[in-house]
Amino acid sequence: MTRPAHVPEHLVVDYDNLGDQRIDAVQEAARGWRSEKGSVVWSDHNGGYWIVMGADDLRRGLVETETFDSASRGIKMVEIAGRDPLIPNELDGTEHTKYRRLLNPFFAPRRMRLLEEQVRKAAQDLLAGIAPTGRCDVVSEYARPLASSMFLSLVDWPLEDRELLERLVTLQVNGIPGSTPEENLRIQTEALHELAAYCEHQVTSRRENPRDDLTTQLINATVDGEPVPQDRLVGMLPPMVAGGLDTTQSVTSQTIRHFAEHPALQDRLRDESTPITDVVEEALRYFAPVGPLRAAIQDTELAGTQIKAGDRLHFMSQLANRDPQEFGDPDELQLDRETNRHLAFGLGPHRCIGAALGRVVLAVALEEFHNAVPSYQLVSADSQLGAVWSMKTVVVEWDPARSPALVSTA
Amino acid sequence: MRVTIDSTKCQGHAVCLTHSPETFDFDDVAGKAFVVVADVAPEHEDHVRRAEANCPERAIEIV
Repeated sequence: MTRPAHVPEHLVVDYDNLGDQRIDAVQEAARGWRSEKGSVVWSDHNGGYWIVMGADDLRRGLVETETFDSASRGIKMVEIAGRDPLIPNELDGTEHTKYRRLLNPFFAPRRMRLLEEQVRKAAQDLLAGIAPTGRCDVVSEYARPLASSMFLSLVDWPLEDRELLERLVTLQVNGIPGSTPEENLRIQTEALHELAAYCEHQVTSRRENPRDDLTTQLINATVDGEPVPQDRLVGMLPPMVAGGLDTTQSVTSQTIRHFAEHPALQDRLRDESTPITDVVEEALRYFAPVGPLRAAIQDTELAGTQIKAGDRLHFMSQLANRDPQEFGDPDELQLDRETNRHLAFGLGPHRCIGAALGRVVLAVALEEFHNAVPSYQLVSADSQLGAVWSMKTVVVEWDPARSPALVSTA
Repeated sequence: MRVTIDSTKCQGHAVCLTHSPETFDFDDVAGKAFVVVADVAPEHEDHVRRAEANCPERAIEIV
């Protein structure tokens, strides 16, 4: 593709959000872009897009929806022709507000906090199998099953579909990082259709056999006094599933990987010297896995850079959360930050609706892991990019004889 | 100390409820926080200051 004429050569960087790179390498490269080129740079990949790294630029860009919208070019890096919009992610203005108000109560902070004991029980059940073994892959044996099972019980979908949904969500959201754009388009399109078909099946089965669950409540909900049209109902579920299955597990896995290499941080969780809410906020800052995608719908300027209507912008929370103008020692994980206005959940009207759920799951996941597992070390780890940056694997090991659960039953 | 929330800026992150549950409450349908006790008791002033400093949308104002 040809680069638009208004993009200055010196702002172009070699970065592909769907490329075969590691998270740490991107963070390292981004430090160089920031110091050499400024906080707005350009990538030629996936049709070309601006990479925005300044915290204040995200604060403007994600709030000023009359300049940067979600509907005109959608929020997926790979543009799939003719697909239905994701609801409410790819609606703007009053239409967005209607659907957001419909969904808000299901994810209200108080309601999510009521799930805490259920999350704790699920975490403890997983750890009862893990702790005595002395070794585990945090991603596949703990972080993923925990986040996924919590989400599936919230929507009341079959727990045995967990791995099928995880696979579809990962392919739908990330494609296979490193594949050619054409391959990724095909992979993501197929996965999105399969996921939509799954969601449609759940909706249809609840229409026939209503239950006391979120899916049934969405079917019975109204917008402007009318039932929600089938395509909009089905359009609501894939982004919800993706948010529920892919994001929290990423932050949990990245945090435990980092703590494996910093035993003093493990101890601070075990001795409860730092409020868990502070640990969670810093983990969200440091390991934010997602950054929203928008399109400019009018010409504007961002951090002194000319943006034209039609340009896409990747507001990278992952990088804005390391903005030195916002955070002191941004590349250090510090559990005792007094002020931590991180951007992990985005901002503005499209702020992550599952933020309160994510916070509860993350807090409990970290607390319970460090209650059950004694001092652990990293064996191996690997990460990948995609719409949701994540760990492919985090293998850690420990001395099972020192496992607190075993000591207490001895 | 008095505190207000600009409801046009608030997007319901609920960070303020964590820092000062005695001051802020939440509208589950609107998905926005609101102030229940605008005149902040002296013993809660630090909580409210932390809520203000950590509000992602800068929607809280201490007057």
